[in-house]
Amino acid sequence: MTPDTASDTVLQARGLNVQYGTSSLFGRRPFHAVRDVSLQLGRGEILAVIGESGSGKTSMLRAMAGLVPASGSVMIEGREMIGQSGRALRALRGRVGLMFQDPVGSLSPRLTVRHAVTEPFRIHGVKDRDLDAECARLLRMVGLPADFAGRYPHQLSGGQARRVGVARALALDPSVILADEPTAGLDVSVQGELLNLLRGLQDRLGISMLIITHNLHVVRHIADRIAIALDGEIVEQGDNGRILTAPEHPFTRALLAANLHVAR
Amino acid sequence: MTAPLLEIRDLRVDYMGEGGPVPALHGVDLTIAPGETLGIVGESGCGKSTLISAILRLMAANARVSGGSIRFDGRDMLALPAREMRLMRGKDISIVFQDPMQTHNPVIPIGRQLIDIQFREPLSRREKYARAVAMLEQVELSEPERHMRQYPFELSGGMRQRLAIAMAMLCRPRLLIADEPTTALDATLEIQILDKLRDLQRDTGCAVIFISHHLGAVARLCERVMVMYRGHVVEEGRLAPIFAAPAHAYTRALMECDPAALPERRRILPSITDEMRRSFL
Repeated sequence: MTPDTASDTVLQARGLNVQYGTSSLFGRRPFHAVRDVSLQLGRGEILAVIGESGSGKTSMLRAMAGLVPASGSVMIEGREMIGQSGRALRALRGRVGLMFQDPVGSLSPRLTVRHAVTEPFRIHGVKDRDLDAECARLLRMVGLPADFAGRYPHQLSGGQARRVGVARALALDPSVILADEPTAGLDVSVQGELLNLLRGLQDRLGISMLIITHNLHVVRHIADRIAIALDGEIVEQGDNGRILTAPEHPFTRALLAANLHVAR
Repeated sequence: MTAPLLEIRDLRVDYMGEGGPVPALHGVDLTIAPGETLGIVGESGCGKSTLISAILRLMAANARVSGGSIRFDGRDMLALPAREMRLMRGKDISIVFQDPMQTHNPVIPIGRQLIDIQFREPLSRREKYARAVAMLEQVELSEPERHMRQYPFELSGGMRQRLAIAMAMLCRPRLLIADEPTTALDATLEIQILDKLRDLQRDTGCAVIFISHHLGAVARLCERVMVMYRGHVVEEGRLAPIFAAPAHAYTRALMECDPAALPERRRILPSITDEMRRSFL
């Protein structure tokens, strides 16, 4: 098998477009949130999409997870997701684990960690598993004690809630994890621990990840490849070292210049 | 030396839990001179928010000051009647919160909020309006007259944080507390907001307490820094020497964890281990 055959590409988006209808006084006007985006994610690779608020990053991710109507093409392990519905769409979605922004807000305050972590099994109608054992296995994978299963979201710290989010994303043994701002709002030390966890999962399970963030410092350390989003388009993508040391697009250069650090 | 604007001595705050009081601040000392900029850094749970809620006397219902003193401009803040405290908030001491989406009243137009907040000022409505418009111009909201008629939801996150700063600075406070004001913003917006805060601070001469876990942001704005860990002040002083050569093990660990500070790309990032934590206090 040559390295560039389809089986080494886990997720491939081509000409992806997302439009939202917005109503105004003059009727419905479509808002083009994602324009003609093409991205490729190799097996075991971490791709970071950077951009500012409103650049369409989250819409891209949702389209690749089959959660918003989109046009173009999204291939998951060689199978087309766009245009699928029902059982076929659900099967493809199961190959993609999702980590939402704001993990405490995305967990129901009235349901336990056990419920949140095992929900993907219920959604996908997996009935032949011992859910308690699955929950314990998933919590172990993300480094949380088994007794966390009985906790409620308000009893979790920010870092613990993110780990629960990772455990949930891993439930169905996906080949890809799509993570929306996984470290936003975390303390730097907790952020480091979470990124090390993601890196460890990638090493151990060969899982691929697409991470959306506006934190360039995180990207520098964790991403194999980087794509830059601006106004719904990807204006530049390439290897980590190339993007950070020799950015071509003026917006990438502006983004690099804007990241604050403590001068040493 | 000038008289301090804010002087906190040996402040102790407990939270009342089911199993008795849980200490959140273990004797915090803090002095700020007029016009000084102080950054407070530390991770979640270090007591940053408890400290500012004690200064503003906006503590949680189960929090209790169990010792120490807070003096603002020579006045004993802990003994101040509630009515006088209310008059001081927003006038002498004001605050910008972390989340610009939840700071403003969603059902009242921006203009009315900016006029109402000047209720203590002996000005006519027309003068208050003019002052509000001038303040929106100062924070570079491009069409102030139009924004006065808008509702907060019509503005983006960055614009809303500018609005929050305008509101906090409108009554010319002598102390501005900014609690993680840029955490929810993009890197480019963060710089713009920090620089705006710095310009306003220089123009008005107000003192600033800037709370953040982003060390780079603190370094851009503040002359002094205070590092907190589990309710203790572990290090305090001029920012440049502390960031160049931190004396306390926690400060060193915190700085080493900052991915921005690592010169080389790393597969595994530094973090603070439990073993390290045992050595901090």
